[in-house]
Amino acid sequence: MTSRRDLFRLAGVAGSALAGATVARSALAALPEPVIETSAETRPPLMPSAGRPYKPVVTLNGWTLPFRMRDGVKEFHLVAEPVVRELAPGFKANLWGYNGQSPGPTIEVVEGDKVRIFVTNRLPEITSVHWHGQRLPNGMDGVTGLNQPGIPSGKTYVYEFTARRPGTFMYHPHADEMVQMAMGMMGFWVTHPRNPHPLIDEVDRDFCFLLNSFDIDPGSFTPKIMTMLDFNIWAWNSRVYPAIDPLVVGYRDKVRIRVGNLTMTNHPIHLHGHEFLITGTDGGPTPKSTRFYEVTTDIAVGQMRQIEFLADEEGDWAFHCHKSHHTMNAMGHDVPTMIGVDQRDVAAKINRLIPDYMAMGEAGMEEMAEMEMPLPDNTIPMMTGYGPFGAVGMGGMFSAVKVRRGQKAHDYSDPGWFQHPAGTVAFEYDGTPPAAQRQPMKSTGSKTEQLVNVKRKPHSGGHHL
Amino acid sequence: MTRGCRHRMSGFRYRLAAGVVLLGLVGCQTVSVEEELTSLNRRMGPLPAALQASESASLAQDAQPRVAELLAAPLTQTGAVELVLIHSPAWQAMLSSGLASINEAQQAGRLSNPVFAYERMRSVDERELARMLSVGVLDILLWPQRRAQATALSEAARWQLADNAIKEITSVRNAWVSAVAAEQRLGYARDVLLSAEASAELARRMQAAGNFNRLAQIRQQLFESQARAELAAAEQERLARRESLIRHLGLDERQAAELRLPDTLPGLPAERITPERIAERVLTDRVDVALAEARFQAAARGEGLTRVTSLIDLEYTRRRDTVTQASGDVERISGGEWEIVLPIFDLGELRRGAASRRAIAAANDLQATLRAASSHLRESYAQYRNSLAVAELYLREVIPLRKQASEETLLRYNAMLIGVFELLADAREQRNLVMQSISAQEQFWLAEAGLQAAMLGQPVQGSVWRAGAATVSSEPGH
Ligand SMILES: [Cu+2]
Repeated sequence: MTSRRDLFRLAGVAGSALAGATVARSALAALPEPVIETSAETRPPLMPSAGRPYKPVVTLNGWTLPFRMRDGVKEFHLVAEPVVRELAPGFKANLWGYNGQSPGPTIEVVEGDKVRIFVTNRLPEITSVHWHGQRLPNGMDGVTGLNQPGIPSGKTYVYEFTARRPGTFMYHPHADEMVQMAMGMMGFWVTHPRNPHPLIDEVDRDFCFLLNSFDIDPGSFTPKIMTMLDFNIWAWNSRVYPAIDPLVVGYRDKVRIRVGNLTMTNHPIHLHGHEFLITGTDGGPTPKSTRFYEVTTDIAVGQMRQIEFLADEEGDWAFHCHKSHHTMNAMGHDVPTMIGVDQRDVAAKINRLIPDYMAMGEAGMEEMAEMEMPLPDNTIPMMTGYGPFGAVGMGGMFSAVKVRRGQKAHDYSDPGWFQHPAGTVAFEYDGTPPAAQRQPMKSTGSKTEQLVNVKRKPHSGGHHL
Repeated sequence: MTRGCRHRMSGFRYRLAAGVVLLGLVGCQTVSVEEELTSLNRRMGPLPAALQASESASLAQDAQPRVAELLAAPLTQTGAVELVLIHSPAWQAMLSSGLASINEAQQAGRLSNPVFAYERMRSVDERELARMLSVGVLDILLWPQRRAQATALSEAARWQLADNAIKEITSVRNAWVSAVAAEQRLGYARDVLLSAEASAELARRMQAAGNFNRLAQIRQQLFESQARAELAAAEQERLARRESLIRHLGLDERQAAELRLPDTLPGLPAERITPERIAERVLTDRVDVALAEARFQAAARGEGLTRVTSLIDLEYTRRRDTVTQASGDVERISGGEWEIVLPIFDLGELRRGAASRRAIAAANDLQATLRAASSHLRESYAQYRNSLAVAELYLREVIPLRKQASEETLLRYNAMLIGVFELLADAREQRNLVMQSISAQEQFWLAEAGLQAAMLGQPVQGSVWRAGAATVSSEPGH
């Protein structure tokens, strides 16, 4: 049920050549054919087919949405729909996304471009798209009820505005957003500068991804949408380690990584082996005077950080959220600490009841990373992944920046593990370690200690039931 | 035990002699024990062993090899019934007192013996010798009626014996079911304790390592205490059920020690008792109906007799005196004497009233039994069907699901989603559910024995249905 006004709009889109009797048909024909992505692989950068040239970005485990030019307007077609996203091999999720995947495709335009985005709603409820961070007419801002009616199921709405400001943006629904974002609806937007910009450097590699989180009960497929804080899947572009692709760069490449946070908590994103500058936020490029070197940047909820560095150290450099629980996959937060608890004889007893039981955790949990035990269906181990030196024992928001000599400019394929020059890997000391000199701590009888003692109840005597 | 049937005539040539012979023949109508047992067997339906009344030591001796054979292997339910039939003194006591009751009932069909009196008197001049033979004339006149009543009474005694026998066999079957179930549950109660012990031990070590506080450790220890108490209860239950079975079987101490039971209750029967089979049962085949019927017959005949006996009694005495005078003369006097009770003070209406009311009561009892019979059957059948449905639900659905839940729980443990304490709690819950399942199987076998008895006409009083066993509780995992 297309309204009269919609028809006029679509007719306008299709051009004035369309005449009366064929309006409805031509209006449909005027919609750009939606492009659907079926894989969770990182697609190579999409070189612009028309319009002003720019250097495209690489979306980590994602892709850029092709556009078509019509009468000087860049047209995109986003389809909001249920999708099945592979979060990692053997671990799929029933999500909502755009054009076959969650997150949706990255939209790349150039500063000053006239942009028209068709949004078709194939969800069972209304949706809308908010263009996070953009300067645009208020009626294009996408807040359901406030700026526009919700897009009903089965309908296509059109957003039109000019990309006024270069920078890094996001898009996500502003209709039932708690549910729709918990289900994975979000996407990336990059507006490239029209002309060389004093605060926006040209780079050799330009990566982007969104931080997102889900609460998927191990063994199930659909996120629990009511979860507010206790998420168990910490993802980059709806992907978890070890299934997040490495960020492959050439030696001495200038690298930009744009990271947006659409989770419910902050993430201190940390890069090994290099210092980076924050060259931009969702507010635009940062003034040079504010830039200083860091190795970790905390990205708050709803924020965007754009970091830049010179990849001048070869190797496989870890790149991850510094909250160590965020570099794990699903785990039980109530699992008791078993460190220092001898379980062997008790385990034998338990085995009489549960033959497949294995004692774990006596010496920490690294053994988990190496154990391959049957897990619930559709579940990725809490600690997993292998490197050239054995188990990595990670999950969630973890990947690596692989810096290689001779990596060709447009080659993003995984070069394999770093070949370390001789004598540059930590090695085992083969002499006898000297006896540890340890000084036992003496009670100082300090005032604080006395205070604490006074407050403590005597442990012995007077047991009451 | 055929009773000797020779009545000495003693050479008296009384005209009543013919009557005495007749009476002797009447006495010979006593049915033999073998015939009584065959009749009982017929009334009770097929039994795993022939009924035998062991009134001699040799019979008990003969059964010993079979008893030993039955006790050598885990005792089946059929084996338990057979053991009762050939071995249990309580059963033999029940059988003998039943046969005694039949004899006593038959006794009512006998005529009272004639009374012979001999009198010798001596005075100064004469010696008198008097011989009197008295016979209850009314007794003889009413003999056919009395015999009919005795037949009805002994029939009632036979049905009463059958009723007792079915009751006993049903309770031995039940005792066997409960003993096996209690034995089976005990194993799982031991598992529960094993799991709780492991939890408590780990918790103690956790506290020693500083990983648990006192409260967390105490919680686990309490599980262990609880499991220990539950195991003690299960052990007592097993012992009590086993001893009850041992008493039913009448085992001596050595045999009791030998007694072994199967590890599990039998699987649910493939062939089900259908409502059609229930409907086939003729009401009059039922023990309770037959017993009420026989009692009614006896009461009705009793009433008829009382109508006469409450009013009159008639006795005839034939007398023959020989008087020898001192002179040596012998005078012979003979004659008869009639004795009649005069209904002057007691017209017998109370006795007649009582007899008539007994007959009415018996008639109503019969009516009530007839009407209750189908209701009992319906209830027993419903219990059978429902307990079967619940037992099947446990076997086909609940236990496999619970097993899957435990498998999933282990997977969750493997995936570090839950800890070992939850895993052990799950193991306990699983065992508890298995115990519930065993109770459901037990319930079914009790209902099955109840239905078998009800079909024979020995309705189980009250319900064997225990609400607890029909409840599927405990949520798997956490
Ligand atoms: Cu994080």
